Amino acid sequence: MGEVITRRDFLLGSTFAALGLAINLNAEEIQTKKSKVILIRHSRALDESYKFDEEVIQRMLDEAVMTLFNLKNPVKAFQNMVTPDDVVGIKSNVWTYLPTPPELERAIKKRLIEAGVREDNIGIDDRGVRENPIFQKSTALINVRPLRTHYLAGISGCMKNYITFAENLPDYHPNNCADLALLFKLPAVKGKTRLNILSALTPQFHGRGPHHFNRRYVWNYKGLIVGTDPVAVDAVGLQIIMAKRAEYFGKAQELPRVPRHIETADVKHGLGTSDMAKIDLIRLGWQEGILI
Amino acid sequence: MKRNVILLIFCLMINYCGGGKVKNLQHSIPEQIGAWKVIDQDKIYNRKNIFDHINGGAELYLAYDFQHVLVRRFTGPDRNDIMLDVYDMGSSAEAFGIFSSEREDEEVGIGQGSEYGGGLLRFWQDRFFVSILSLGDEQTSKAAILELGKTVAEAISSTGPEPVLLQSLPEKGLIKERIRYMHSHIILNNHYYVASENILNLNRKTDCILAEYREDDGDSIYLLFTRYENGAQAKKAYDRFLNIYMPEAVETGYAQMENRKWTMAKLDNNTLAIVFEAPDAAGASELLSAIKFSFAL
Repeated sequence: MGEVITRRDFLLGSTFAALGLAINLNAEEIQTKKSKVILIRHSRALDESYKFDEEVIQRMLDEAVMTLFNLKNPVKAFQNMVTPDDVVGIKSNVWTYLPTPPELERAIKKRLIEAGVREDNIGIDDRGVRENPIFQKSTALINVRPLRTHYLAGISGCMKNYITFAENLPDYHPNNCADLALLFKLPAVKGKTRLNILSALTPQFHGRGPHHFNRRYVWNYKGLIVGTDPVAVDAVGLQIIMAKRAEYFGKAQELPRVPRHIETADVKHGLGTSDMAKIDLIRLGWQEGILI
Repeated sequence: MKRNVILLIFCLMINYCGGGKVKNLQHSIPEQIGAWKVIDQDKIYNRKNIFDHINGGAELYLAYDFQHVLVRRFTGPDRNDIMLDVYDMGSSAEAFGIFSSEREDEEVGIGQGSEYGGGLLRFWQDRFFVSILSLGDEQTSKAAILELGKTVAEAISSTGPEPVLLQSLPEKGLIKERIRYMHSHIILNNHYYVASENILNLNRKTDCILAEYREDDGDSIYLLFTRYENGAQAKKAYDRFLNIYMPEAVETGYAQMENRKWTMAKLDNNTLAIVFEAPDAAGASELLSAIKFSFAL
């Protein structure tokens, strides 16, 4: 058993200190090891009836990747991630109640084609990735899914999205899905992820019932969280969920569950950065109600 | 006579293997409620394949004595679908447990305990836990959801007792709607975070209640009451809790926490009771003293 974190650790310090997210790095290390994450929002990304504006979403994605790679053209930004020879799997999410918006999937695919990837070398899939020929021979992956709470893992983010690459899903459930980072070491995944996009267009901050879904806990945040570091992207997503929960339920219930996998991915598996102090978060676009 | 007995055994085996008690209920639940009609074939899942039905929360059900679930989907005006799940939880205590584990909304008088909010009706009756969820506009489907719930409750018809352990709880200040009955530290942490690891050694053979008590000033005190298989296991959990959670209290069983509130633990035969968030040691002791331990034996 590793070091036990108790309620008293939370009483002693900040939540993230209790979760072990504050690592003892000196100032120089913090400067050099920051992960860049783009949070972009647009007030017209969708309307009150959850109808997405595809053109606005395309612009949001473009601006995010241009800022991420310091480039002035979205196609060049995608060319920074993929080559025309790549076979690209867009790992989406088909969860019935809150799937990855097709508008966002199409926006990604459009730029991949413009970046030179053959259309027949691009696949979009979720639960069929293990049998999908494109994913079986993929050389690059784009990881895209909605941000929501999860009964066991605390939040479902970009790391959790790779669960369908696993042969046996329950293998990743122990200890509140603490070792989800191991999914990134699977042969079908290892070294292939070029971009992580956490759709915070309509995040869910609390779940109820067997299906962990209730429309009243979904809100129009109208954002995308984009980065190459899946741990950092998820850490930012967690911050937004926590802020929304604190606003809705009060400070005492800001933690959705015990989101151990984000910290573990950093500290134990070295997959990325979980400490907000070491994440270079760039906020773009609509600022009202940004929460972070 | 012999043929009838063989036939009965055969029928029981079919029921057990192919959906058990929920399959018996299947034909008692109507296929139409108002403008909502069944679409798709009913599905029945068991402990092995429940992951095919519940994406992400199956462990909650597996932490209880879940047996089978019957799933029926209805569609209404403008594809405003309703999803009915009827879970056979093995016993009424377990059905109560799963219901209590996520209870937040107002009682609506269906089954032995119910709640409705945001397009979701949850209730328990006898050994069954029922969830009815709107997949579209909940205002449009609310009446149909409640009507379907009443119909399912009538189809179940029988009732069953709550967990006997509940009778041990002191009644003064108890918020009955916030009682949680469970066997898992993960569920405990969802309601009152104790520790990242299972320091109380909870498992499917331990029965655990988290009860919330409201003080006069509006603050809450929490009582965690656990029954172990035997006294040795209870003692082991008691020692482990003190060593990890409040080592300064190994001798006394109580200590003041960093937020100035008090935590106090008490071992009694095969049970362990812990009070969290008490305003003072006397308040914690008073609550522990009011527990009717004899009901837990």
